[in-house]
Amino acid sequence: MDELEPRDLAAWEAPELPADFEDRVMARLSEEPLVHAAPMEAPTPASSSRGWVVAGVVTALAAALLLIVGMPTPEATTPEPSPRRVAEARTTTIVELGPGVRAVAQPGATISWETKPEGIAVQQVEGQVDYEVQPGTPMRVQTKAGSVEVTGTRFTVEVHAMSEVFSPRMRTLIPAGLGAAAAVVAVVAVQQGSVEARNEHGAARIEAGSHATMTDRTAPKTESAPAEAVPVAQAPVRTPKASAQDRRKHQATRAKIKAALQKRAEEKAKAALPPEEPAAGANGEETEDPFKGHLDKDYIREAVREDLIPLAIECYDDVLQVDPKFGGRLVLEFDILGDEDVGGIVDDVQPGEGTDPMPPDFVECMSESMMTVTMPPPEGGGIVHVTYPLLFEPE
Amino acid sequence: MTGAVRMQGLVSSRSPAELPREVIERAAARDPAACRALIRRYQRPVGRLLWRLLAPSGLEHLTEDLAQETMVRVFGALPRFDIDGPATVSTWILKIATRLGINELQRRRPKVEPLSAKAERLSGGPTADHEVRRKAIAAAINDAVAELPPDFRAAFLLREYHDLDYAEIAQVLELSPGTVKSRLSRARASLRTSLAQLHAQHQESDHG
Repeated sequence: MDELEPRDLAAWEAPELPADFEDRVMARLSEEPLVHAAPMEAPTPASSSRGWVVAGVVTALAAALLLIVGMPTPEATTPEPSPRRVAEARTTTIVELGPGVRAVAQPGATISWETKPEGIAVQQVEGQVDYEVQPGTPMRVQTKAGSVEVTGTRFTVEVHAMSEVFSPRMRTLIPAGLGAAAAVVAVVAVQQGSVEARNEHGAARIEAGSHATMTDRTAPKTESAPAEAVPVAQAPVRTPKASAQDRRKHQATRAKIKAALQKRAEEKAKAALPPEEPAAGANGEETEDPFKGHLDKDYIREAVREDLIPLAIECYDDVLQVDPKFGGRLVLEFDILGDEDVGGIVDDVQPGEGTDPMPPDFVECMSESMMTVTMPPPEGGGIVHVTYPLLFEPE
Repeated sequence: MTGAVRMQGLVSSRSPAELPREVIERAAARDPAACRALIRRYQRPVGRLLWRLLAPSGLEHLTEDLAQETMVRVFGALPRFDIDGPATVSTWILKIATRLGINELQRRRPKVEPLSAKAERLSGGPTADHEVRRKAIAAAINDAVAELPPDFRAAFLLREYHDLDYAEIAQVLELSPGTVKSRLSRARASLRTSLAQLHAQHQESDHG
C-alpha cells in the first residue's frame, strides 16, 4: 500500500488565515509600487517583513523634532527615491530601510521611512528600534524628543511617552527629575561607533557603551554604562513589550475573570453542604480552591505552544544578538486563569526551581510577554498553576 | 483517480478552478477587484501549505506573515508570469509559498523546547473518544512530518494535501521527478509506520 488513508490525513487540520487577511495584503500592495516588484527568483528571509502592518502614510508627525542619522562620505551612494511607508511592529522585526541601513524594531515600535535623494528619512514615533548603519550611508530620522548624527554605527533609539514608562530598565536610564513636565522621552544607546544627540535645548556626543536621555523639554544628557554591566544590559533587549493600552486591557480582563471565578465559587459554596473539617493543608490561605485544575489539558498545551513559546523564541532571539552562545534552562511557573465567558490570561509568572542563571532582562522579557497574552475562552473555567521547563539552546 | 477524489474533498486545497485569464491579467495590472479575487481564491491553499510546513517545527505563528509575503511576491511577479506556460497559476503560487516556507525552515534559529516530562504536569478534563483519536492522529502526522527535512516535507504536503503530480512537484522543488518519487516514498513510509502503531494502540484499547 503506497497511499495514505484520506481520513487520517484529514485529521491534521490547518487553521484558516485571519478574516482580514485579504485587507492586509491589499494594504501592503498599496505600498508596493508596481515598478518595484520583487523578483521571485531570489526570495529573502521572511523576517524582513514579519509582523509589520504597513498602514499607509501617516501625516500626524508634524510636531516631531528632527533626528538626523548618518553623514555622507565620498563613498556614499545615492539611494533611489521611494514612497513613505509606515509600519507597526507586532513582533521583533528586521527591516532593510535601504542600502546599508537595517532596523530591528521591537514589538510596539512604530516608524515610518522613505528614501530621498539626500538619504533615508525615518520617523520613529514610539518604541524601541535598533539601527545598524553602514559607514557612508546617509540617513535621517525624526522623533519627538531630539536629534542625532552618526557616521556608521550601531545604536538603539527608544521613544516613550513619559506617562507610559513602565520598564524598570527604562526607569534606571532616565535620571531623576529629568523633564518633569516633559511629554516624550528618548534614550539613545550606542553599541558601536559614536553619535551626536541634539535638540533645541542642547547637544551631546555619545560614545560606544554610553547612552543619552533627552526629552522634548530637556537637552540630551549622556551617561556612561556601568563598568561592570554585562552586555545584555546594553543590548537591544526590549522589555516594555506591551503598550499602556495593552496593559490596561489585560488588567481589565484579569479582573473580569477573577470576578467571574469568585462569583461561581460563591454560588458553589452556597449550594454545597458545609465541610465537616477544613480542606487538607488548610492554614487560612491554602484552602482548596474549587476552581483549580478545571482547565482542559489540551487548552493549556495549545496556549503554551501557540502563544507562549513564540514569545519565548522572540526574547531568546534578542539575547542571542548579544551573546550568541547563551543557553540554559528556564523553569517557568505561572497561573492560567480562564473563564468561558471572558477568556484566558497568564498571571503571576515566576522563574521556578531548577532555573539556570539568566540575564534579568531576559527573564523580564519572558514574564512581561507572557503577561500580555490573551487566550480564547476555555470550556468551563478555572485557575491552573503550570510548571513549564524550557530549554534554550543556540544552534 | 484524481487527488481531489482521493482526498474526498476533506483536505484538498486544489479542487477549485483556476481564475479566468482576464482576472489574472487585471490583477497583474493591480486592478483592486481582480487583486482581491486572486487573494480570495488562493489564500486558503497558501495558508494551509505554509501552516503544515511550519507547524511541525513550532513555527506556525509565522504562517500569516509568510502568506502575506507570498501574496506580495505573487503580485510583484505576476506581470512576468507566462499564463500560457507549463505552470498553472495555482502551482506557481504554491511554488512561491513553498520556497518561502523552506527558506524559513532552513534559517538558523534558536531552539526553545519544552521539557515534556514536567510540562505534562497539567490538569485535564474528559474529551470525547473520537476527538482524542483524531487529535492523536493529527499529532502523529505532525510529528512524522517534523522529522522530514524541509524539501521532503514540502514534497509530501504538495502531493498529499495539494494534489500536485510528480512533475509539478519536481518543478516546484526544482528536482527531478525520480528524486521526488524517492522522497515521497520515504516520507510516506515514515508516516505509515507512525499511523500503523497508533491504529494498533487504538485497536488494543478497543478490545482490551
